Amino acid sequence: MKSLAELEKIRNEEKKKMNLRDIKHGYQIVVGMGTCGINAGARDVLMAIVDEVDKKDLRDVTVTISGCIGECEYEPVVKVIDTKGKEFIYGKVTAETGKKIVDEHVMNNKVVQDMLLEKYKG
Amino acid sequence: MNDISLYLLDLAQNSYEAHASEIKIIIEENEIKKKLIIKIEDNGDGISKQDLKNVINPFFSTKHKEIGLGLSLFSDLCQLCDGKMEITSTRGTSIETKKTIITGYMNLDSINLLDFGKIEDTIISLILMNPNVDLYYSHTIIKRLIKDDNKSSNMNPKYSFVLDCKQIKRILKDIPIQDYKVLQWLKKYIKNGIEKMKEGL
Repeated sequence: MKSLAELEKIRNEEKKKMNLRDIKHGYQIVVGMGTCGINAGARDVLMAIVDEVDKKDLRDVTVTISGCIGECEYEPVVKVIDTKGKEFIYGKVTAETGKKIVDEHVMNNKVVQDMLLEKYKG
Repeated sequence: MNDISLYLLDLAQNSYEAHASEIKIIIEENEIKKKLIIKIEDNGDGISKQDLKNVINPFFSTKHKEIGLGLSLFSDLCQLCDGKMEITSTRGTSIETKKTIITGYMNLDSINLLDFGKIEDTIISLILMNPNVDLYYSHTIIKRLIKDDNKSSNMNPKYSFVLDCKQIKRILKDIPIQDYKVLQWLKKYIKNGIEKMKEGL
């Protein structure tokens, strides 16, 4: 049974971890969540990305959602912004490939070339 | 869209984009009247009287694009479920007077009614859109009382689940609500809470 008392415990655990590290400005991951994205399954992609970021304990990574960016045929679309502010847009992302983007690009700075939007557009 | 949680995800984003600081999603399932009411209420910039006429048109949007499907699709769903959608919007100058409410009425017996789907995933997604916004989710079921000849009670049982992000933030204090461990906990808390409510607990 989930109770608010459990949340207090989590709060205290996270507080301890926060004191141990400096939070640097890390990668940003933006998942398109316009009507077209939602219809293409973007919410599941977002959940998979959040799960992976949590699993790999990437505390300096920000995950967020945005509206439609006008690439509806290539939804779900995921934008990765690296620490230098450079943007990479991935298309037709799935839960599985979303995890790959976290593991390869966000964690190891290796762009997943064949999933970039520009590759789909040819 | 396949389920109600996805419509909510779509519609609530309008509230965020209208600069709301508080968004309430209020759901009431009345099994006696066979009515489902879904309300999305926010204190954002609102919709002008002029735009109110146009917002359910799929080829109208105030967001610098040519297509705005969210309200159009929700309105269609309500009508398919023998109901309707209503919109009211007050665009005051102070935060206390600003209120926009999208209300969807549906018949619980309609064969076109969709499942609710993963409400927890929708709420987590919305928190991630802007963690500074206070989201409030309330879901109530008014159940039909199973008549017992020996009892004279005419009370219909009412079961609710409420998630108030303001309350969550008070407990978290300086830990952000978008902390990933907090979000994982919230997902299970919401899923569990809604299941218990549906079981009548």
